[in-house]
Amino acid sequence: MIQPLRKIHRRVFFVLALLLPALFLSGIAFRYSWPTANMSRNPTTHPLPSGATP
Amino acid sequence: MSHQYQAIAWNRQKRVYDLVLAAGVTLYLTLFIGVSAFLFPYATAKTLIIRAAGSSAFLLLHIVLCIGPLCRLDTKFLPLLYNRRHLGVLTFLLGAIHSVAAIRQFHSLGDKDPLVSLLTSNQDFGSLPDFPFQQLGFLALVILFLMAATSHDFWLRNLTPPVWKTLHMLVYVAYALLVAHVTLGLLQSETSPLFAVGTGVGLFTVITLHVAAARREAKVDWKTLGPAAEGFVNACALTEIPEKCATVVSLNGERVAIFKYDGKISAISNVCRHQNGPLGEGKIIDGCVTCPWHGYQYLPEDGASPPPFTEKVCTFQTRIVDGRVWIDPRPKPPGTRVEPSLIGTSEVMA
Repeated sequence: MIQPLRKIHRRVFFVLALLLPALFLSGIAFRYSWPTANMSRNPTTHPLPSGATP
Repeated sequence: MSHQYQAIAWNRQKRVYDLVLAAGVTLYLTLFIGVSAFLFPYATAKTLIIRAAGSSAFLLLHIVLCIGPLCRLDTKFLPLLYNRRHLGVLTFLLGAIHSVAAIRQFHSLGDKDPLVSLLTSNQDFGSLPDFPFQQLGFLALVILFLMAATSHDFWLRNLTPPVWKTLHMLVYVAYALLVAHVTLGLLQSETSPLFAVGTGVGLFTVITLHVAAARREAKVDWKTLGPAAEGFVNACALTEIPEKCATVVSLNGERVAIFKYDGKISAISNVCRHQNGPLGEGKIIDGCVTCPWHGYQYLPEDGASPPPFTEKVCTFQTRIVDGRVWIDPRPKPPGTRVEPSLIGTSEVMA
């Protein structure tokens, strides 16, 4: 009575078990590398702490 | 089970289940919003609501999808299954809050209708990082709505269990859409590994549990039964069946539950009439086979629910020969009384 339903369930899940990890990994692998803040070592670009002299 | 219509047949277990559920979700939302507001003081209230509701809905959907295989692997999890539909409805409600808040935030300030804007503003289907992930989430919400709207026993009865279950199998499509929605949406803009690892662990858990449960199920379907004689199939040894419980065998592709109780053996269909639950994983309580999912009951001799209830399942003729149970694989019409085989006064096959 429910054997056909079990078969559909098995097939659907088998497809998803292959498809979803592939999609997840592709999504991670191909995402943009967003620019990060450039922390300059040049002391003149940062304000000096109060009381300090250059 | 119900012999007359009741909107919701509340009982103590349902109340406790729903109270725990409501308390858990409230705690999660409070913690999420509180911690996020502390860590990201510039985040707006709307953004926090979008993220709290969306993440809780996604988390709940994982729990919903894990309950089924967990119950098949260990009966200790069965109490979680009892009101799983309430979890599903709450998942939809949280998803709806997430969607409404997101549509208001991102699509309500233009000159287009917000829904039209949602469906048409991004059509870059060829790019993974720029994929229109919001449409995926919207489609998943439509599926969750259909499932929530038909979750009541009224629809189960009117659509019939096979149709209802087929409709509710769309949960896997919704899950796939939501994994894509999160991967192509949140994970594209949030580069913290925490989000990617969290999503990956959730996906891995759902897939692993389903595969483990499927392997266990396959063992029953692929188990080779003994040779047939006089139309009866050698199904199992008497010692394999625990007292007041059953052993499940697969006959012609359908499962039969063979129960041992009070020195007798009876066999009925393994499929409960309510939600197609596995009767063979239930016990005999008060003389009735009791479905482990929602407690529907059937008399083992005739497969009929005790009056005033009307559900009936198929029965099977059994014999006991030399300590083994033999079954006629041809099912009797639902509710047909079949004399139980008595243990100790075994019939001898000619």
